[in-house]
Amino acid sequence: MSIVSRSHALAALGVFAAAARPAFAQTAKTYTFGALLPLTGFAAEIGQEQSQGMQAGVDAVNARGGVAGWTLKAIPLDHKGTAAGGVQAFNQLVNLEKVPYALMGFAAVILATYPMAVQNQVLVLNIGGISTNLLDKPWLYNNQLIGEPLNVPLAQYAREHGIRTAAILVGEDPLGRDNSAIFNTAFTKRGGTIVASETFPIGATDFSAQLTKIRTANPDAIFNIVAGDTQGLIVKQARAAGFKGVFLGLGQPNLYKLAGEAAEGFISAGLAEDWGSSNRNVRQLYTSYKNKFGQQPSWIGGTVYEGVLLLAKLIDNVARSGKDPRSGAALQAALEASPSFPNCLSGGQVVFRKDHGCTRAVALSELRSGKWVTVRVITPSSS
Amino acid sequence: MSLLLTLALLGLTVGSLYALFAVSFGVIYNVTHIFHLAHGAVIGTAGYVIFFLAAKLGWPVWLAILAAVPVAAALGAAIELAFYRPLRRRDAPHVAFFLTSVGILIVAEGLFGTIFGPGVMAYGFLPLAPVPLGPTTLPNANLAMLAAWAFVALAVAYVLATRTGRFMRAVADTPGVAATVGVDLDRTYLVSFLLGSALTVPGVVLYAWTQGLTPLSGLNVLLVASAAVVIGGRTGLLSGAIAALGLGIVQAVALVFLPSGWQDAVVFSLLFLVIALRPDGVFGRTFRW
Repeated sequence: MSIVSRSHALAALGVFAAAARPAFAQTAKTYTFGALLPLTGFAAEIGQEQSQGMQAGVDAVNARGGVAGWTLKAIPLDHKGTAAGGVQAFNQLVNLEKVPYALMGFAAVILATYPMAVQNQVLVLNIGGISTNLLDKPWLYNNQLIGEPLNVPLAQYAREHGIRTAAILVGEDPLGRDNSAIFNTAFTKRGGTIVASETFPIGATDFSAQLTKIRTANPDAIFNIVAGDTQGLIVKQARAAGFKGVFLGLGQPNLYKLAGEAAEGFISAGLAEDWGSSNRNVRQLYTSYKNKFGQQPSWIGGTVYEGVLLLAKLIDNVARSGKDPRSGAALQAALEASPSFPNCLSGGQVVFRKDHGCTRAVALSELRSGKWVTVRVITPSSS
Repeated sequence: MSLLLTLALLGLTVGSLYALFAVSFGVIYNVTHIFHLAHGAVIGTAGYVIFFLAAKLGWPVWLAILAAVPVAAALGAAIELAFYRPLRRRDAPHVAFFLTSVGILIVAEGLFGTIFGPGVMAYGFLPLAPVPLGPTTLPNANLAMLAAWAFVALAVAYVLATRTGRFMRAVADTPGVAATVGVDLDRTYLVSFLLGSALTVPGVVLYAWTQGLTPLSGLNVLLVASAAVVIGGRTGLLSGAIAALGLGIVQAVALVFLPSGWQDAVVFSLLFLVIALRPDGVFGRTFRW
């Protein structure tokens, strides 16, 4: 027994020594940042993809020896897709972990935690939340298109393709409220008519009554923007209620898996992705993600990956100026000084605007035979 | 067909499903007087067993459903034997039963999430399709929900027509008196758990057909079912079933007059009203089982 233990101990020491030597030479310090993700609940599929994007980003930075003497370490916590879950998790991030930088999506979560971010000077990067309320907030920057850049092209495309009437079915949260209002304005301004508008509580799974009401109004399309598995259930139940028109919205990762053929023809607006691009940053994300997780990345994990690379850039810039990069204020100043970073989804640059929204390419995609097919790309210069 | 009538028809189908769950909960609650929230764990287990057998192992759907019946019944009985009976022996207060029940439900939800994942598991093996009904259309799953009344009738018939059923009614009314005339309380409680738990199987099939399953499905269903039992009154299974049917219709029709988000609020507003005005339930002693 003692021989086995001693040999194990020696082996472990050997491994430790071998592993530790180069690591000490390059990165002796650990830089901790936070991420609030929906790891459980109705949007857990999104959280998993975001978590993978985050891991790919951390691995990419650490594989090149870290940044400015720091090795990155992420602390992902679960917000369950709810504001209450977000507040609980963010409390832990700021009070126990004392992170200066946090990645998070879901408008309701970001808005609920933002006052704590201000109080604790945590720089927050939105990696998916869509609400106009997320703009013009000093400590919050949005690596996501918000409001008009997504909904106006969708309304335009719908009108160009003969959709005259639409119904709105969205969740009772900032995502649903804000985007449906913008879509409503854009669609009616282009001659369309909104014939019904219904909402549902977040986390609901039965939409039969709302869909029956919508079906009675006989719209050409249903505008549905909601995070997570809910969308697949809505689409499936809508077809079963006899709806034969088109769905418009922001396509979710599990849509086809849950709704199957019922989801065919769904037209989605989202961040443009070009995984066939020869752009170095796109290739790096695509290759590392596919090698590690055996699947193609999407914008959902991609914006998180970009968020980690952005942090690395900020740490580097702050360190070069001789300041401590563990200060949220220093990170914020560095971001203001250089408000752009490489677009790893389709190439080019993502640039933060004065309102802390961003400009980047938008894509409209249609679900055909279970695959998203890009039907239109709107680049910042062409919009 | 007017919107109001169409929604009423839809509410009739959903209310029928609620009625089945209300009976499956009520048969336990009325007899044992335990607010058995762990019934949600039994509902979830039945649903995931069917999903696993049919979707993962490729069993025929009817066989998977049949196989879930003894599993659900056994789980319900196990909860009674392992948790509630020892508490009863120690003359534990009602709150101890309730907290135990909550604990079991929370552990079960965690297990469902760990084993099957936190997302929605769709019952893809039961195709969801529209069925035209004259000027309107309803999903086939909603029409199938009307079959819930067959199971309600079977349960009521069992309680009314069998010797064990008579014991169950006697124990529900006055357990002390029932015991003094020779009714085996332990056995009667156990039968209630077996029957109520077995009834979750047809219910969860009809539920998951349209809505899929998540770890929280059992609790979601149970909230409405238990509210229906309280609203209807504890004196009979039919009171809860009829209250559940009414809740389904009111919930659907409310959409004409109220914003969509008020659907659940309607149920619980009614619950508060009934508790305040008629604590014994709206039907009082109208339906004696």
